[in-house]
Amino acid sequence: MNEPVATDEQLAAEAQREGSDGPAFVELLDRFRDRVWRICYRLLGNEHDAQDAAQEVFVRLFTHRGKFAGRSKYSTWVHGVAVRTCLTLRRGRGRRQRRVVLAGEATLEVGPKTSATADASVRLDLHQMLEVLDEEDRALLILKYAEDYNYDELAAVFELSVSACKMRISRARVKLKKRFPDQITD
Amino acid sequence: MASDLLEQLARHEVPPPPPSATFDHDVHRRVNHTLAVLHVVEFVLQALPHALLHFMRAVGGLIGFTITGQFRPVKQDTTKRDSDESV
Repeated sequence: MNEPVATDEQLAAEAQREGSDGPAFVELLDRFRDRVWRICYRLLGNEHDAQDAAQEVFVRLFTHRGKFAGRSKYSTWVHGVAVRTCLTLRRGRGRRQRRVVLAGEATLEVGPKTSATADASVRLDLHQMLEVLDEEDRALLILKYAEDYNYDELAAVFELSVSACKMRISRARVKLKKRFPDQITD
Repeated sequence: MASDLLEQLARHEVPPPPPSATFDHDVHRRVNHTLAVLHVVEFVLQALPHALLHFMRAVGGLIGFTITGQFRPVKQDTTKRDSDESV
């Protein structure tokens, strides 16, 4: 007979009772590894930083496991921690260093002179474009367009109202449109 | 180039995450390191001051005895004595 699968919230409650990273935390790590990795990669843009950030996210999930009060879904809380961790790491590094990394990546990715070249340049363009935004607006746009979050999910992750999310995304698009009129449509 | 460059964000593939064994091992190592640091901080901020306080009381008692030639009167636990008498 199959045992009933524990929900994320049940596992989180179990992890709160564990003194160390026990079976419940390991199960949560297993469930959210891919999701956290995607968020970190999208927000940081390279594998090395994404791996560092994803590990840091799980350390924070462990050390702050007593703070999950169950007011939202556990997955939403995890996504919020992941986004805040990435934003903290990005703020810590500074924009100049990021540009160097992105330029290096673009050079490395340019191999055969076909679609790969175009893709790398588009990617560099995209990241350069998004650098004009502040960190939170940039993260909102990436999660909205790259990960297809809806406004309710964004509002829960960023702890904003739905209308505030819509307004910030709209303002971010206007700002991009002003700077790059050819790339952004109305 | 697409009419809206933002729409192209979704087209960029995310590489697969690092192998779970390596990743989990690194996470556990970092968690253990964090726990060790937290325990040291807790020890320094809580246990050490507590121990120092008791040590200083003993030193104070020794100095008091050296000066006055008498031990400080020890406070009696009155609640315990009362309960003992009631039995």
